[in-house]
Amino acid sequence: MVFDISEDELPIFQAETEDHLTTLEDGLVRLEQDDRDPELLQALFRSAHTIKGTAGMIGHKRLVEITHVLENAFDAVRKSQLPISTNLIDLCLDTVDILRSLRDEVITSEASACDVPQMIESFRTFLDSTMDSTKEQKSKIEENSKTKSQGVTPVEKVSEIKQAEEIKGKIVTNELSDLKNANNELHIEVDISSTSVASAARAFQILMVLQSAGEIVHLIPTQKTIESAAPVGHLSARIIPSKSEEEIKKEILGVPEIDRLVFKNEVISLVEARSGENNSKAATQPEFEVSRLGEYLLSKNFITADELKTVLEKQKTYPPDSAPLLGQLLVSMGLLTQSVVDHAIEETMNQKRTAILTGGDSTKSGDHLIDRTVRTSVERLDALMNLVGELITDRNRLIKIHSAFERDFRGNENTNTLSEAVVHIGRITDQLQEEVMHIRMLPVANVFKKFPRMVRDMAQKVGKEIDLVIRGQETELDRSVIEEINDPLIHLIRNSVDHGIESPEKRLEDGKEKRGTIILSARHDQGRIVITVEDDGGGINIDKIKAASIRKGVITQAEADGMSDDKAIDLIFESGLSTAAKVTDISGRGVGMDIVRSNIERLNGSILVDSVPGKGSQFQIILPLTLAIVPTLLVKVRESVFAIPLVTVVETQKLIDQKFQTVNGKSVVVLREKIIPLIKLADVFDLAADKHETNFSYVVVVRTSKQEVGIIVEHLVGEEEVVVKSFGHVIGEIQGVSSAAILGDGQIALIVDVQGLIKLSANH
Amino acid sequence: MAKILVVDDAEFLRVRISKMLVGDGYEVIEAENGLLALNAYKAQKPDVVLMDITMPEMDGLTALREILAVDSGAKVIMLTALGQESVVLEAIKSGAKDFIVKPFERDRVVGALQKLIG
Repeated sequence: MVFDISEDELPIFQAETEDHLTTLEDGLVRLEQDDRDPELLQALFRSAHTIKGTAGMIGHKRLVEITHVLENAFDAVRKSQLPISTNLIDLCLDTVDILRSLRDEVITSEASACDVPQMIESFRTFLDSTMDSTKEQKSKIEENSKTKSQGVTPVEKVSEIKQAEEIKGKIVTNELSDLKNANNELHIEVDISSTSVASAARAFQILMVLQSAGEIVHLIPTQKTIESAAPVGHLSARIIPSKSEEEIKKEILGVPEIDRLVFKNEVISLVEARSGENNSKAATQPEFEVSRLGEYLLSKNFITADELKTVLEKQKTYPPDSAPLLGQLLVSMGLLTQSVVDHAIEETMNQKRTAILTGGDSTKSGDHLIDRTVRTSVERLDALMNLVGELITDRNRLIKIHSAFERDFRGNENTNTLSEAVVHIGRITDQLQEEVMHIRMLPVANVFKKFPRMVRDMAQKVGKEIDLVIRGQETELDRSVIEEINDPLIHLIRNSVDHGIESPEKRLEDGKEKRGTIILSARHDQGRIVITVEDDGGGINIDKIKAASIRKGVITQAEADGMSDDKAIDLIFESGLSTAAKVTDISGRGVGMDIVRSNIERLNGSILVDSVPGKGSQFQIILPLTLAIVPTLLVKVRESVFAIPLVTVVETQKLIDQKFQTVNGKSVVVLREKIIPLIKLADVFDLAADKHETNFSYVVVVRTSKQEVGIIVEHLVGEEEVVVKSFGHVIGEIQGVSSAAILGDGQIALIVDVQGLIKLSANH
Repeated sequence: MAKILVVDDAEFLRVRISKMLVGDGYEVIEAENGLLALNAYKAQKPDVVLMDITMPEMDGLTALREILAVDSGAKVIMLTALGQESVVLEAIKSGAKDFIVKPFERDRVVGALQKLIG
């Protein structure tokens, strides 16, 4: 797979086609719902058109062909010749899939397995069956979709030939009479190339030349015919010239795509001088270009001086305006292969480009080439973020040192100077962090954009009618987070489609709208991002969940009986649990929700579920804006410092009475009439006891999903933004601890993974 | 140095054309739709405009007419694709000097420019 695209063009190609593919996918789904919004149709048409244009430029013929079919279908819908139907949208979406595979060929340089002719055939069959009532348009679309026919239908072709024959007949008779009466009239005949895409426009260009050249006394086809845009193969005219004949001839030959010109008695054929596809290369190639190519070939010993001389002489035998290029001649005379010539042209171009770019007066043009945006790699951004992280650690350290100075040398002039410097560096660091984080931000639309299509396809598969409403897709978050939330969101949305939304019959039975709605939204909330997946389906059946949990041995019957609904609903996050009546290929295999939760918690986020039977369910994912820096609450337990992510912290309480109550043999504390199970960090992590018994005087209440637990600690050290350092392969995963951080005073703190901690304590 | 205004909503096309022209010492300015092209034309008075037909905001045909209304001597070459025969004719009738069909090669573009600039 070789395409005419350079490395620097590839990212532009990729990004641009991706945009258009998304527009197509998104627009098609909306088209099915909104029904022919003219602006939407226009946008769809434009996207197909642009992809086609770009594909043509890189020589991707199959991509051109299939995009052309799509473009024509949109055009037909736009002109109300084709009704919007589910079948049509299906077909278009399938085509978009193929476009994507074909686009990827350009990026990977590997051929894809997609069957383009088959797809075009399916489209044609579909049009056959749907456009019977409007046969005329159907044939137009079909013909148009055959790109090779250049938009000329056979019928038109025939009439064109007939017309040409008629014209020829007339010319003969005219010529006879001309001889007698019109010596001052100029007789002109032009053949326009049959490969011209808009031959009527070329004819019009010739017409304009003729109009400026004198008085037109005879013209076939007539101006009216030309203006009807019907293809023009042959044009015949007589004018009374008001300019010199040479001038008129030159101007006519200036119009591209002319195969043959009869000018007075002179016949100028331009067909042979032209190389196959490339229509009007010849006429305007500058002289110096030719000589530079010759020089280059000579200098590299590709050709001898004699050969060059022969070729140049041969070139001179052609009319000056239509001489073939040096390269073409060399190839046609068998002196060089096309690839050598191509390479040589590329080289000479490069030389010239370099000359211009290094030359003095090129600065002005250079300015336009410098984009106001810079493309950079993700690795660089990550490295930058790491450095900012280090800086934050040092800033925290400086603040510590500063407060020590404040304590010991208050009022000292140097302490005051230090104070100013520390405050300033603190502020700059904050700003720097903000800027870097900002650079790394991407709108969640990057993830959301593929869901409309996904929901549509899945809903169709399971026979449901579902609208996906997306809100806040411009909300930005760190690209590392964006990457990670993709899979969890797919799971949640699949669940809503498969288990959440009921069948249309069931919904009507329940007095609901036939179409279900899933709302996917994102918003910022106090330095966190909240993503919600909400459906108006049947809600989660608590009894079923409990029953399934008992069956799988997750809980006992007694536990189930005593379990609150809030807690029971969290059982859906237990592994191996599925309450779906039947397993479908979309979801219901009992894997998913537990993975969703562990994925989100690995990001220091949390997931909450809420459900009202008969009304619907809501899943709320709360995530930090970035993964690299986490706001935490630092706590101390037996000389070790732990960092608890602030996202999870509900409250802290000083314990006055240290005698905890026990329920079912487990320690609990009662806070405002709420029973909260307790976890002793010291016990869970088997921290060695000090010589003297320490006082566990604080409880930090943390929440994960709907579950709240209290972590018993000795001291609260304070809040600190810490830079996350992963353990790496040597240490590996430690249950209950997600990663580590270096604190301002140089100490190392372990960042607590609350979910893991709860599991760990249960095993203790 | 001749100044060329390249108008196309596809960045790829603009970059491709710029690359074709800058090597030959043309100064290239870009616009991504008809409206921006009109503004750029007024501000920068390019020697030749290479303009796509299908664009958002303002299409090429409208932009052509607007540009000609500002400067009746404007040299505009339309960039077109298959299936736009009648629009191309309309453009030529409205005063476009020439048209180039996508996909095109460098020689075709340079040739059309040289014909207009001389």
